[in-house]
Amino acid sequence: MPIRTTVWAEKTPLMQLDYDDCWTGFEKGKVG
Amino acid sequence: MTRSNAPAYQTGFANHFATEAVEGALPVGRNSPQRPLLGLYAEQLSGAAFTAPRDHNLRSWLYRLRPSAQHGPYAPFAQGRVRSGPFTETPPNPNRMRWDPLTMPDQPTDWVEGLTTYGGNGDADSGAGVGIHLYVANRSMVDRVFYSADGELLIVPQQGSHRFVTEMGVIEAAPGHVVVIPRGVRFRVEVDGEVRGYVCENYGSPFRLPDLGPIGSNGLANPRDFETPVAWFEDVDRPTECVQKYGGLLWATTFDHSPLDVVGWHGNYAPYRYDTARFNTAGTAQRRPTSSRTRSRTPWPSCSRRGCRSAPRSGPRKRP
Repeated sequence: MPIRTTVWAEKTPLMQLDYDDCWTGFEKGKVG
Repeated sequence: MTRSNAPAYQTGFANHFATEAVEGALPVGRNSPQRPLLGLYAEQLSGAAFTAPRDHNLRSWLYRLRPSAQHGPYAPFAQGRVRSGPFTETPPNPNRMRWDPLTMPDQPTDWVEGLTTYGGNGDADSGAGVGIHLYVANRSMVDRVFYSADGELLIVPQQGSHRFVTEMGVIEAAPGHVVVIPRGVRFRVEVDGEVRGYVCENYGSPFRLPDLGPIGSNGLANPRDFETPVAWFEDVDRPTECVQKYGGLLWATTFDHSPLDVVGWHGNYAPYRYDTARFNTAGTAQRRPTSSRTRSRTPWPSCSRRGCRSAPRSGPRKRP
């Protein structure tokens, strides 16, 4: 069963809207 | 060093405990005598279906100063941030979600007032799923108790000292502990300064210890490390608000006394705590005594981990 959030959890300013940014800038793996 | 006023505990997971705060409170050889000892009221608190098989049956007998039904009707309690499943406010969202910590309130806030539901799954009414809550508090609950009729509460303190004063005894907890309070057990939370933490509300079958499989007979969370409080009660004739979580909403009534008045109890349905520092990620490798190795009828678990043998050193295992 998937976890669903409450409206409060989705709307609170405590949500880290920039979280996806920490998954940018990774070096690509080198296979050559 | 142990403080002189530190609460005492009984050890063992889901043991059948018997404890009394006043000598003679517990009847011997019977549960509900026609004339209860000390004029107490005998009540059974059921944590499983009445006819559940013995190994799934959870119940305790409580002997208290006054009947627990001695209160007026419940009315909605405006708090606004507590929910139960089914969680239908938002569609399932595949995105990653993280939150900053809850802000510590400027105003005095107790554990009930600072409880906030973030989400969950399943449905409390159908007895499956969980609710996910976080809390902050900066003052103790005074003349107020709480219980959940929707599920058992697994509480994980993240900050600060907590003192869970329950109907069945007192549990102290700090970061590193987990505390489980069964469905229907009333309690208040006393704090020493600012506290915060997590709550997993389990709508389904009560938590149990997992089987150990090839780990063997010891390891992970060992049963003896679970601590259940001894009986404790207060004789307070002062109005006490009782807030219950029922069907996802909070309701409140007022007792003319503290309902934390259980003088003695026995059974296997009770709150407990566990110190996660005692968690053993794998069983301690050990050899069986020679007699056990050669006479046991129990199949040996196979194990390839270092230090764990699949057969006695002296040669192939002999069957009797």
